[in-house]
Amino acid sequence: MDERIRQHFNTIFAEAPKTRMALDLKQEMTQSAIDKYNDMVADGYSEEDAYQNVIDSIGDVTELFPEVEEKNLFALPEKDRKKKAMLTACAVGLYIFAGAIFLASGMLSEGFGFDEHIVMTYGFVLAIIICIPPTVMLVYAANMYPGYTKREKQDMVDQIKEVNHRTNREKAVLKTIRSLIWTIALIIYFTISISTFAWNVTWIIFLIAACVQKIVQLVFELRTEEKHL
Amino acid sequence: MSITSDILRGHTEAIILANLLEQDSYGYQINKDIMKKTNNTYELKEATLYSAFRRLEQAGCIRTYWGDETVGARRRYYAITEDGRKAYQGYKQEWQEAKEIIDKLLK
Repeated sequence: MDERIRQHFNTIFAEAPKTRMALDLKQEMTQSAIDKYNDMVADGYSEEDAYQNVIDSIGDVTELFPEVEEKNLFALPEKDRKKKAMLTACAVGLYIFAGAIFLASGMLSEGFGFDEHIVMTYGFVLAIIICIPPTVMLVYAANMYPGYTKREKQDMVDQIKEVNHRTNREKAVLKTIRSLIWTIALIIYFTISISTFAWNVTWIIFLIAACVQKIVQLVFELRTEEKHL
Repeated sequence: MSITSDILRGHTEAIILANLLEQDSYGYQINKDIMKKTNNTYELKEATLYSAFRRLEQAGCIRTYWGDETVGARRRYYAITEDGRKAYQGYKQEWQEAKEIIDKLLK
């Protein structure tokens, strides 16, 4: 009889989206139905009555299909997933390239007898600049949440979901701005330091960067607060 | 009876959360508990129950984990989260208010 219940679920799930979530759901519901069937038989119901009762209590499973279409915050549609993988791969490639530039600058200064410090610092600055695009790419890739589409039913769960989604977005944007500020500060630091040799003063740039970051954060928080009111 | 089940169905999520406040549980067990508490008068349709689970999970109100049964099929358990507790409290309060209003109107 277990097999008959399984068969029934296979039939009603035939039109379900082909996702892991849908498969899990089918197995979970099948197990639940089998549990119920066994309990009813143990309580003295005839096998046929128990089967009918179990099948009747399943209800309309098609209402479940939109839920298992991997539309949650962490699953992306196939197209976006490919884009995300591409971005990550390119970013890693650029990081390796930056590392190679730095190493090459070291070898260059040794091999050709240029001033070691200058060549290596220029190499370092160049490497850092090359690191900007991959950083931006990674932050953007991490920021790729699918938009939360409102369904006609607006209950407490939907409201919570919407708020969660909104804060996720805001956090991601703030993270992007923060990483940009620090990368730019690093570039300014090395560029000014190398051109002026005022290494003893230029560290103040990092304090300025910290201030700028706090200001940006404050502006951001004030703005989102306004939006929520 | 149809009004009763309509109203009850509208509160499926809150009923599940209330049940999970007591202990972690799995789908069939929750439905059995509901039947027991209502003296076998009310039972959720499986589709209604699992659809509510998915929505609660996506909203972060519950989390799931696989049980460690050694015999038989493994079960997926549900546990309430901190967000779920908050949602439950909010829901309970709203229900109290609605109940008072309806009581007044139907007197």
